[in-house]
Parts: sequence; C-alpha cells; structure tokens
Amino acid sequence: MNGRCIGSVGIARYFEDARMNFIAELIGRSGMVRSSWNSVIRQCSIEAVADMVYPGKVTAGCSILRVGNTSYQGGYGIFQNGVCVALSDATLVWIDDDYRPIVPLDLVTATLKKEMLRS
Amino acid sequence: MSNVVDPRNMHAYPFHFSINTRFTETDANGHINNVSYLLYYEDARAAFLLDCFPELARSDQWLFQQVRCDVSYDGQSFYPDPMTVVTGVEHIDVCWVRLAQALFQRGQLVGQCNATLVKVDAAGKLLEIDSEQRARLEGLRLQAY
Repeated sequence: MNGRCIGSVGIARYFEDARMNFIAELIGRSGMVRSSWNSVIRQCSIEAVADMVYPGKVTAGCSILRVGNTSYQGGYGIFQNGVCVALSDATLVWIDDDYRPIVPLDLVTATLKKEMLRS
Repeated sequence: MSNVVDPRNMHAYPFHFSINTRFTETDANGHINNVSYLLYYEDARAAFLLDCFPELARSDQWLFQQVRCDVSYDGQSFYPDPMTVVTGVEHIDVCWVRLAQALFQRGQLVGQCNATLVKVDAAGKLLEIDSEQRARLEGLRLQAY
C-alpha cells in the first residue's frame, strides 16, 4: 500500500530466516549435525510495531521462550536503525522422518534450556 | 445447523477464494512453505476487502493496514493442488477489524489465521470505521453452520 514499507509477507520471511538461523546455530552449538534433527512450525504470531522501510538494513534478535517435551517456543524481534519494528513468537515441533512428533535428544533440550536462561 | 461458529468449518465463512499453488512456493521437502500460507491469506484478504469496498481500488484516502497476524499450521499441503482460502469478519471495533481465515486443500483444513487490520489514512493516521463500512463488514461475519 505504501511503496516504501516492507509488506507483511516480507516481514514474515525475515522472521523465518531468523528462526532457522537461530535454531541451526543452537543445534550446531550442541554438537549435533543438521541431518539428525528436524522441526516444523505449528503456530506463529507477528505484530507490526512500526513501519519497516526499504531501502535499509534490519537486525533480528532471537530468544527461547519455552521448552516443552516435543516442542519449543521462540521469541523474535526485528530492529531497524535501532528501533523495534516487528515482534513475533513461534512454536515449533520436533518431528521424525514420518512427521510424527518426537522427544528430542537430551542434548538438544539442554542447549535450548540453557539459551532460555541466558535470554 | 448449530448456533456455534466453528472456525474449522469452511461453510462458516462467507467469502471463498481459490488459489493455484506454484512450485516456487514449496520447500525442500516438497511441502508448501509456511510463509507461502501467509501469501495466500494476504491474497484472499485483498480480494475480500476489494469485494467489500470496491472503492479501495481507486482510493488513496484510506486503507486497511495489517498490524497483527496469528496463524496456526494444521496440516501439510502440496503442490500442485489448489488451495481454497475462506474469510469472514470476526470482530469490528472503532478503528480496526479482525478477520478470520482458514486454508483448505482437497477439502482438508491445513491452516487458520486471524488478521487484525486498522483503518488508516495515507499518512498512517488512525481513522474510524464509519457506519456504512461497518454495515458492509457486518454482512460478512462468520456464521454458525
């Protein structure tokens, strides 16, 4: 609508990138390899706090809000020029190759819980 | 027919919109990517709003801007089957409206969305939803089925 603003789907893409990079970073930190884990998104909320404009750079902040048995919830914020422009939370479920929910390895849960405390 | 609105029932929504899926919207596993769902919801909302307010197509005086979106992912979906996005009004407030949407593929529910839209002018200032607009939106509420 306003040509200079990033649209809602564009914002969702930034959050998706942030989510995936963040969890890959955490899993890497735990010493696991990429092929041994997988998760799917179950729920997501996105709130526009201020206009996100083009051109410009954005930075995403990521945290772990909750660690469940087969899922975890992440909290994310996108900042532009030091100002928060969008917030999101998302629940992701750990799954096996047949897309059934699974309890992840203790190592993964421990890494997420450690990150939650740090956040 | 019951008096309870079931948001998982396609027939509860007054506005239906069909979308062809595209290969580019799939992920590495062959599923429709989660962000693509948001594209479908957005497309359907735009069609819904233009159907409800045809004057929006040529108006630069006011618009509806999305400020919040809550989505749930209820099932997997695949290319190349088309999607049906259904939309209805859930709540109307002074300056904002909340739309409920659901996404179906092959008759199966695969996702739900609640989008909050505020009415603003070109400068982004909040505007009141007037009585005529409110009446039009009232006619597009979710219905018990």
